Amino acid sequence: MSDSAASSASASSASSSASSDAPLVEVSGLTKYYRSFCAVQDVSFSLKRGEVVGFLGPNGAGKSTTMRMLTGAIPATSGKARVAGFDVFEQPIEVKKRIGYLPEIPPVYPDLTVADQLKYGCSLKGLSKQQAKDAIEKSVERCQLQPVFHRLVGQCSKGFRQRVGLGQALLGDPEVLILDEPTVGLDPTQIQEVRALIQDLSGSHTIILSTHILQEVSMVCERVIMIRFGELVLDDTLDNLAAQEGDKSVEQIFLERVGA
Amino acid sequence: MTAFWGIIEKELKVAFTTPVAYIVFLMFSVVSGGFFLLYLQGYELAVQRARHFDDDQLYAQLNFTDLILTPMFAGVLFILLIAVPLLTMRSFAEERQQRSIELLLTSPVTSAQVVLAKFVALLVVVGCITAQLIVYPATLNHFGTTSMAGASVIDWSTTLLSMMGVFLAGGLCASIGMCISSLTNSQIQAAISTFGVLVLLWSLNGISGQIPGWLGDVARFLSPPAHFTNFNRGLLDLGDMVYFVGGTGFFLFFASRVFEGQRWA
Repeated sequence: MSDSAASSASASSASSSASSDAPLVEVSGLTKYYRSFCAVQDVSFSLKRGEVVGFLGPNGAGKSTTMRMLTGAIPATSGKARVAGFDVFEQPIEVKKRIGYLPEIPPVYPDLTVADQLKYGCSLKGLSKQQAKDAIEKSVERCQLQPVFHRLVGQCSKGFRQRVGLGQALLGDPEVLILDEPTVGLDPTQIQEVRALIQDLSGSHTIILSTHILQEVSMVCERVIMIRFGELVLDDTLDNLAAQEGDKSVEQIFLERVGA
Repeated sequence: MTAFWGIIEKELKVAFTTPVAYIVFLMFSVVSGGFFLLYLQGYELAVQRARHFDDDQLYAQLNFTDLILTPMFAGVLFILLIAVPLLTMRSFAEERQQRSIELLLTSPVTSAQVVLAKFVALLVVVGCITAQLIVYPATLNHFGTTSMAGASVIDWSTTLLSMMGVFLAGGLCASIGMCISSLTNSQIQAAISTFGVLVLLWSLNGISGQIPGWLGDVARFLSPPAHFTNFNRGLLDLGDMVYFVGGTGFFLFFASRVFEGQRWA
């Protein structure tokens, strides 16, 4: 397991270094206030094409808020964010075409069947009929949705609902994937599968992955960004961290930097 | 455009897989049927009275349209007060509650597209509900007879204008309901507030007579039933059209601004 993670990580870092010219995601000085409460304070980072980044932080640190601002779901108070060269706040439609987003709670309708839900997702992405058919087929295969394809989303288990959300985010092969705790609610086998899927996608997609499972980060990510009280406290590759911190695990680093 | 039709399709699928639309449809048919029976009996009484007094002039004035259909449509208009909030309450409130709105917020669609698509889907439901009213004139037309040879038993142009009036008023109410639904997370709150606003608008017509001067005119102008009355009399007035269509447009614009304010697009 660990060597497969290592090999795919090296494969993806090779492909990312091949096209490393312009950063695909660029965030600078992003700040969000909810009234007087500061949820995200002056966060800046940039991601290259094909990078997989673990986005870590304790509950309420501002992970989801940052992700929601990046996807254009909520406006930022100040700061800039660019995806594939488009400003999220000035050309949101262009940005939204290029992002696949899985929020904490998968945005699915209990009264639709999985098939209809995915079809709806495709039409929102503006895919043509044929493109939609291919995209749905691909998502169903990638997220193993065959057993529930004709079932109502509301009657699916939490794990399947999560996978429908993930399948929906993958529709139309967006360049950037923003996944907010994608493995929550899945059983151990499914978690393995989703991790394998993320590794599989890593070469060609930029993935921002928020999670509380720290082993997951060392397994699928090349880089970690940690935030605490809305502020960036760490942004480094795992290799660098390993070199600096010796044989400390991500968990130990996490507890040192953002814990307590 | 794909997104626009996709949203309409999804809204209709949800509308017709959940019971609300059917309940509203049933409610509409029961109440309109009740009104129909009521005025049909009234018509019978009027006919008997005219026969009793052998009053030819009175007899000649009796017709299905004025005595049954017009008052029935006026009564049906009141059902919109309850029916429309039930149809519109979920439109945005449920999506916000279930967080499925996040999909719309982060999809490459404009806010205007989302609001308009949701509204068109609502209009289809309102249209279906209004269309069922055709059974009453059709029944009268089928079973009724007239003394004048060749003439239709009912005045179709007036009847169809009445139905159009119900539809337009339904559209206006739907836009108001959607607008209110976009302001809250709770379906119940959306339904109750919409009902309240509609009752207020309706009552403006009643109290406008008590208010002197231009304020009374404004009150009457703002009230949907005041404009519906013309349709129900068989009058197609440009001002009434502008009121319904313009009012609907205003609330849709407002709803799209609200939706826009929640995202960044």
